[in-house]
Amino acid sequence: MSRIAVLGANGQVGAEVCLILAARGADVVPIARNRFGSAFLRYHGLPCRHGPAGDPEQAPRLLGDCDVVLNLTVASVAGRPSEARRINRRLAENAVRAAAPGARIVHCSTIEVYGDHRPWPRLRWRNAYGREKLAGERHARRAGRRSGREVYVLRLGHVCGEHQTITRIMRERVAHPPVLVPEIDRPSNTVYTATIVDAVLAIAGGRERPGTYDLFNRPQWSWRAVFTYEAGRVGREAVFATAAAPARWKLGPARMILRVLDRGGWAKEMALRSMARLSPVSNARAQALLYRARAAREVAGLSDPPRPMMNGLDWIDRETRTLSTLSPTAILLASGNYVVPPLVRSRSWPDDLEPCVPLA
Amino acid sequence: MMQFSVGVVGAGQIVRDIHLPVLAGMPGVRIAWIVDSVAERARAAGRDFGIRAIDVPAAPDALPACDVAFLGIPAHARAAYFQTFAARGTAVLAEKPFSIGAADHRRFADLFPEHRLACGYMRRFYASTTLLRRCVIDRPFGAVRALRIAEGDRASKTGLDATFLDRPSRDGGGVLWAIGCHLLDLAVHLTGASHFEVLESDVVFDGDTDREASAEISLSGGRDDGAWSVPVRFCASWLGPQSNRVEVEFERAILAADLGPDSPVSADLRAGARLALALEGGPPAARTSYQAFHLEWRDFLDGLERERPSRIAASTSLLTTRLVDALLGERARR
Repeated sequence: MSRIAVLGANGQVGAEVCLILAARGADVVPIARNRFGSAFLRYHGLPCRHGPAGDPEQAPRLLGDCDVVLNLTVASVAGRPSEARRINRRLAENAVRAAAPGARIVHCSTIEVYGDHRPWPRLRWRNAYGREKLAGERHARRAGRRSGREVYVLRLGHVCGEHQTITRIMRERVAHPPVLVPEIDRPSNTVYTATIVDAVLAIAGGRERPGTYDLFNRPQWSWRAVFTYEAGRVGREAVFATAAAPARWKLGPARMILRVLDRGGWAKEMALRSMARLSPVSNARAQALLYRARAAREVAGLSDPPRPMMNGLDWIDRETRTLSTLSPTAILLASGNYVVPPLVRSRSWPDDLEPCVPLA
Repeated sequence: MMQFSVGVVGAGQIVRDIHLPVLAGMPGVRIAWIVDSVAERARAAGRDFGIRAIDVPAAPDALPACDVAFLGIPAHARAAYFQTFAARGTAVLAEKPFSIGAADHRRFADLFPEHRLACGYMRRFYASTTLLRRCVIDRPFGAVRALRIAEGDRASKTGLDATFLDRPSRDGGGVLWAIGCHLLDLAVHLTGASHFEVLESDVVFDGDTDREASAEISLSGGRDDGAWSVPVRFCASWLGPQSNRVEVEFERAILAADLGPDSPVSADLRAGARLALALEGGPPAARTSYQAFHLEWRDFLDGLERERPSRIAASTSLLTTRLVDALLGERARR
């Protein structure tokens, strides 16, 4: 059986993946910088290993006896981007170099690397997070080539699962129907932690080839399917309403430019000047248009309608290259074998896992 | 306005990200020096904020003079600094928690005049706190019947140096000293309590470090005919999601607010309607973290100038420290 190290085990995705892997009987080695970070996992009965994986001298004692390394780490790019880049590079490289000889490295990235996911932009800029994750992919691949280890890059979509924020939000939404969403039958780009675990076990078992893959539910779930599943989990029925696409969705960039230009009231001033040169009929029509828009805006404010769930729901379908041997996500979830087991307090706070190489 | 020179002990994240930016822009304040046990950390803060960084001396009494010292170091390492600054007549503002245990709290507080020593429970300056406190005092919704407060989530990000959180609870580690004391202080501050009784408690220990604490507490105050008590339900956790809210149940309404500085306060009336409440007039109240820390400093410095205890005088948080002691029980003994 493969020994699977999980870097970033204390993160939202990492913790849940560790719990499910352990429940599946995998030999999992959750790794956290300190015991504060690993408290949740140890509370749930998982022994952990502690240390700074970003330190090239410490990383071998954390990873040296593991034949699969699942790297879910990312240093926040907020605050000091150069430091984040340095740390992320070290984490990506150490995850590859410090693992056991012949180890398989699963480097988790994100579909944010594809850039802006909204339907309308022609230029798809990558945000800072997406740029950082793309750089991490490169570092992992390069380290893999140099050390002769197989690297699998998984670009995760929105991660759903018992301990995931998006799942909590969806369950809150279905509890207060209707769920207001822009387009419910659009592919969701979601991936349940069950499928992440399935992917890791498939890679650990040598059933996949090294490469870069998108990782979404198998097959892709629509948002309707995701909400319906989550509603079922909390014993409810999902009721949907379609959110009208706000005008800014069509005129986003133009509106942004106008807003910037209008900081000092410039646009209004120019409009008034132009209007003075137009006919009285045109002036009256323009005024009517303005008043209608204002009235509609203010009347809409009366009922304070619920806001659509989130921008992520209108993201375009990103799936391009997928792992080939994964089981359908719905079957994994229905099996009950890929869910977080309940807390058993008598198993809490196990002894820490020993480092694999004694420190000098 | 008096001018104060401030010496800063500690150059950790809270100092660098919060106190230095606030102090650097505060009228009547000059940051005289900064010192840290990690010399490079002090030098980096000194370089970035244009402050004189000094190497940590063998003993605190070798530190340069200042009017006010700020202690941004862990509570277990403060004793020598309190003694040194008290002997010099230097006023001290300390980050929370003030001390580890009520015995130290009393001992340190006794070294200073009341107005010259404070502890940074800055949530007392939040707009939501100010509004709730006014409702407790002025009773527009009747008397307080109960209070519920909870904060926390599964501990996740450990990118920062969080090693002090892993120390044994008796040395200042754990969730109670990190966030629980804030919640307990808020409960004490809102109710104006002078006594407490822990009715029931469940503290989850990871070795010697508490990771979750929940309790039913009775806070009480007043005397004779005016005596009152309020049941408080409390939880601080690093093991699971909490409501991250404070709810104060009055006779005619339940007032609730999130624990962030910008949270609105809502009032659910017994009659069924929900009101959004807002403060108007009165002294400024914080809607951001920087505003809260600014008000904390301003209140303390004004207190020094006028020789009156500030809203965060160390004497006012003794009950909070005693509450943490009581919840930790024997594990709090050093």
